[in-house]
Amino acid sequence: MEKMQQIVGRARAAFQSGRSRPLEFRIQQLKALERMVQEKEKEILAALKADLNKCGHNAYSHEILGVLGELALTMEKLPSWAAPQPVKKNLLTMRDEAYINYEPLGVVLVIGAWNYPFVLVMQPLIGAIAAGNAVVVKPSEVSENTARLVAELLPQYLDKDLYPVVTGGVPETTELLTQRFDHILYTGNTAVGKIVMAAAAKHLTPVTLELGGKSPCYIDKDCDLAVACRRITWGKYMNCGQTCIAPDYILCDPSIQSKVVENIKATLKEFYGEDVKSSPDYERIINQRHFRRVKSLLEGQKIAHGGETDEASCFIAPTILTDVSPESKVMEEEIFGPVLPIVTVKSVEEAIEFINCREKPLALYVFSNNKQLIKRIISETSSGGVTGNDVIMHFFLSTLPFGGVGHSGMGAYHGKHSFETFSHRRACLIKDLKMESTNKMRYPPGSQKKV
Amino acid sequence: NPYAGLVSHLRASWLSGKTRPMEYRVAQLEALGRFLDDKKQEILEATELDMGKPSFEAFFSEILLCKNEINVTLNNLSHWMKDEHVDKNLVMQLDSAFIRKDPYGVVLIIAPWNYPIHLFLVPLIGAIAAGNCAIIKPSEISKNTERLVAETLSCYLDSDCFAVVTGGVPETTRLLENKFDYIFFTGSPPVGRIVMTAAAKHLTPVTLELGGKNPCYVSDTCDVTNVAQRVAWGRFFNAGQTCIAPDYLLCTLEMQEKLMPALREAITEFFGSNPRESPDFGRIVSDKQFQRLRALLGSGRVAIGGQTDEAERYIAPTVLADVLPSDPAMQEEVFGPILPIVVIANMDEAIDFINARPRPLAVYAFSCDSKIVNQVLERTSSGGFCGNDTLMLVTLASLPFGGIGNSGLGKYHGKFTFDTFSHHRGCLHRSMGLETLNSPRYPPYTQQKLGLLTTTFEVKRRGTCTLL
Repeated sequence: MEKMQQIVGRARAAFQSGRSRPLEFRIQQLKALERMVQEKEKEILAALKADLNKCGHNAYSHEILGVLGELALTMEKLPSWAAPQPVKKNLLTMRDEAYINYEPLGVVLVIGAWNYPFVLVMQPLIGAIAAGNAVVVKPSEVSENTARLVAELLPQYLDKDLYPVVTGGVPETTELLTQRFDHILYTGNTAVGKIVMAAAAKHLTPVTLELGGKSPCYIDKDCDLAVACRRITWGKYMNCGQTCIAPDYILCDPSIQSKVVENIKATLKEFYGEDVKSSPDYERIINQRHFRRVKSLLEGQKIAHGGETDEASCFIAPTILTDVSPESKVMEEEIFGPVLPIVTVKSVEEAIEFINCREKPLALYVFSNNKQLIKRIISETSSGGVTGNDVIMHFFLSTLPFGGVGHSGMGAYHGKHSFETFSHRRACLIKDLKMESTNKMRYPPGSQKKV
Repeated sequence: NPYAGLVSHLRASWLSGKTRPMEYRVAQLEALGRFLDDKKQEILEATELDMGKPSFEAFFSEILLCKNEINVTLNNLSHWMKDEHVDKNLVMQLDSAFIRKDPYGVVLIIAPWNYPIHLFLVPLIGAIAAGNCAIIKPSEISKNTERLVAETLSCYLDSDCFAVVTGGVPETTRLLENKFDYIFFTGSPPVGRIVMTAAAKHLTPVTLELGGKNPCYVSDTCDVTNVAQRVAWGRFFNAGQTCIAPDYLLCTLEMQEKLMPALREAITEFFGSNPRESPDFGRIVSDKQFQRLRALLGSGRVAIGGQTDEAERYIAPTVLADVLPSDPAMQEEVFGPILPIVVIANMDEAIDFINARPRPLAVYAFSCDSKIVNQVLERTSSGGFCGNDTLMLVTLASLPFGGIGNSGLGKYHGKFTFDTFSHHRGCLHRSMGLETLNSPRYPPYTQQKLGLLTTTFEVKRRGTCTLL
């Protein structure tokens, strides 16, 4: 009980000392983070491999490259992001100074997830530091190697009091959530998202919740199936399907279903070879609990490809299910595994309706040569984000806000959006103490003339 | 669930898509403008009955400021609605990348009693502009205005998409059991917590416009007359029942002595020698609030005013001198025509005093020395800040209006209201061609592919040489 209070208390005292506020300090901390990522690259890749069997290429391109990019962008842009922003004035305020001042919120809590365990604590941390806050980092205990590494490394490079790392599971996180924070960014699932928001409500703490859902992927008849399926295969099976914005399921016309299956099969062979299990580029399910969960989704389904599993190594082969019933278990919850159901729909209208009668997803994907159709689907649905004619990629453009809507979350971050999420935009109006005559018209006694 | 039917009716309208076209939104906003024009007299009368709101004030806050917001919105709506194209990286040069402003769906706006039209209408403007359907829950405490809104708003807005729900705590509690896509609440921090907790059950995002004690620091170097006028105006507007009113004054003993006659003079100039007879001074909204405020009069000593009349719910414009931090007037948001003055030794003490307390909606600082104003600004934290005046920052629609910490989360006014009620959806529309450019990302992975990926994706800090 005392421990969490002490850690957060120390962070708050450190914040109140004011040292996290000067831009020079923030940039210095970000530079230190950059050094950490560069110097400890091997250790980071090893931890990711131990946790998720992530190969070097994937780990580097998904978790390190993005972090380095975000650091470089933030360090370069910070002076312009943090500068006071003058606003348009009206007649009454013409002679005044009116601007928005970007200020830190205070002590921020970042709760990471296990599927991209490094980048999902680092990216929010970068934004929170850039905005001048103290940050308590709570990596996911499920990806224990990365959690341990983050706990070891951050204090070696960053200010220990301002940016403490807290490790532990549900009891520790619950206790942590009783403390007062000035913003909480949580990445994880919907159920826990509700718990985080309810805990935040007690302190009126604003939250950013990066949750999940079933991200639909609509494939139009009019499209280059080979290319579409290649891109979908890449996004679906990377990290063994354990990606919050993976295309969760496919919607397509029954007439192209078997072609879709064929194309994905061909791509899978190209990517992972004949024996997926021995490909160094294919990951594993994080643990036995999730292995069993994903495996159970296969029950009663028509397996068009894959389906092999090995509990000992938490291996589930890239799997495709066809003619999936909308009521089946695999269509109820977010799959978060290498199982791709295909649900057939006879028209775009049916696809749109299908998507709209479900919870708003984190991502929406549409493949079509017909630009108008893509525009239509975007306009008639809602989702956190969208990529047309590809998957995942909107995540990699930091000028786009990355976040959910409805059950898939609230708030957004990446790039400048992180800085804004972790800043308070304070409205400032500075008037002259003279020039009182212009104020006279607003003072009583009131009269029609004044009005 | 007594409101389930209403909510699902609105949700069905929402799903039909009728609130999305710009023409529809414009028509509803124009109708709101007509509501303000047609019902101006009724609004002035209702708010006068509710809290003795002087018609000058009611016109200014309930009509003029609202119409301004409608016009700012109508003038800019097409621009705000447009997809916002964003800078792209190397890999996406040929793609289309933009932020789409999507409506949330069915939103709930809960308004308080002190500016009973303004505080539902301004959020509603943004909700409509952003393409949502809305349920409006006006305060039952300002019951005349509540009745007016419940009876007449439906004549102006599309009743399939916009509804007014009346009632007190039990009704609001039941209403909050429903799933909304956004909740906008203006009121007190304790109720803000209840609203956010209810919202958490459905993962509904919220904006909470709460309150607190807005400190007003007056330095020793200032034009006493002007300060007194601006502070008195801000404090006694709406008989002090304003969330961003200067709640208490911080100044030296010397300044307190100087300010007192100036404040007295300002009050007399504004309200005459007997404010009770002035048509320009309001009343307290309810017996409960009146009694609460009367109990605060024991703090410090009454230097100006202090007279009360229970039958009229009248409390004279009052200034309390030598108030101690432990006094009742310093324990809660005053929200009445009473201005406590707390004496401090210097600016540093004032800043420490402010920082030792929950962050307020506004911090005010008065000084002829701009360095002092800046010091207070830089060394404190609050929703907003105004130097050398009170209240005025809410009249500029280009400034975000909202709190921080206990005083709230989120912000609105002008474009900020539109943004509050829109989901900013990141969209990337790629081309089906140029598939070869994607090959470095696909397995089987090789060092060469990784090198290519790094080169195309990485962001280099300006000034770092890539040749080395």
